[in-house]
Amino acid sequence: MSIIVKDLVRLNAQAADKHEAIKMAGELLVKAGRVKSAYVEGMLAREKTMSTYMGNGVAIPHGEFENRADIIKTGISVVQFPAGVAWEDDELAYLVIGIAATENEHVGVLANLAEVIEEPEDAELLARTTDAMFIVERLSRPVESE
Amino acid sequence: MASSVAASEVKKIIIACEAGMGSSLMAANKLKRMLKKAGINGVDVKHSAVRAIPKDAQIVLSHEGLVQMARDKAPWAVCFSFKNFSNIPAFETITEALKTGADVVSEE
Repeated sequence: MSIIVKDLVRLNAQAADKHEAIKMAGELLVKAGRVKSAYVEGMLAREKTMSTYMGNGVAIPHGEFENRADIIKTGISVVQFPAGVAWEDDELAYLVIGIAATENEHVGVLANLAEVIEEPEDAELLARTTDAMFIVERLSRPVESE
Repeated sequence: MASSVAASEVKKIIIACEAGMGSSLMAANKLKRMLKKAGINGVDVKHSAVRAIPKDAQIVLSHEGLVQMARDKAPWAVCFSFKNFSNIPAFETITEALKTGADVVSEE
């Protein structure tokens, strides 16, 4: 099973605040059978201790160490907010990436995501696309092995 | 706690976060690319949960809320802390030191 698939992507979403946005990213993981619903609570708790905003409109909410028990299968969800969600200070998140990982199978997806964060044009394309597969493919590119 | 390490001895750098599944991995990706751009080879950059820092790391970076635990878990390593995973000033310090062959020094 791929780590990121079309069913884990939600386009054109709107949320009042980051709490709601994290819930959306978490619910995608729950619906796809990747995590138990308790994991979403872990994501919300983790965000309270430390922001997962990574820069350039991207946030990566995920659970805490203890929440690994609630992960059924490694998965990554993407919720796109074309209008942005206020995340911290003056920063808006346009892409909210929910992460649930048991081992390190998701290293490749996050390497792609790190590239996207460093290329404002890439991030913009993902924040505006109307094609979920565009996001899936961009984040599933093969990356250099170490 | 170590406060400096010679550039030639740096083989492994660890970025540690609470769960070791998201923030630290993203930050590790960034440092990897910074080192690559600077032409620095032979240094392994990995992410980890704070409670599981590998024994063979010479440098450990962690969020300020976790760095004390990192120091306790890896007293042999040079530790750096940061406030924000998306902006880690020590990356510049480390890259510059490795590039010039100087000691990597943490003044924390």
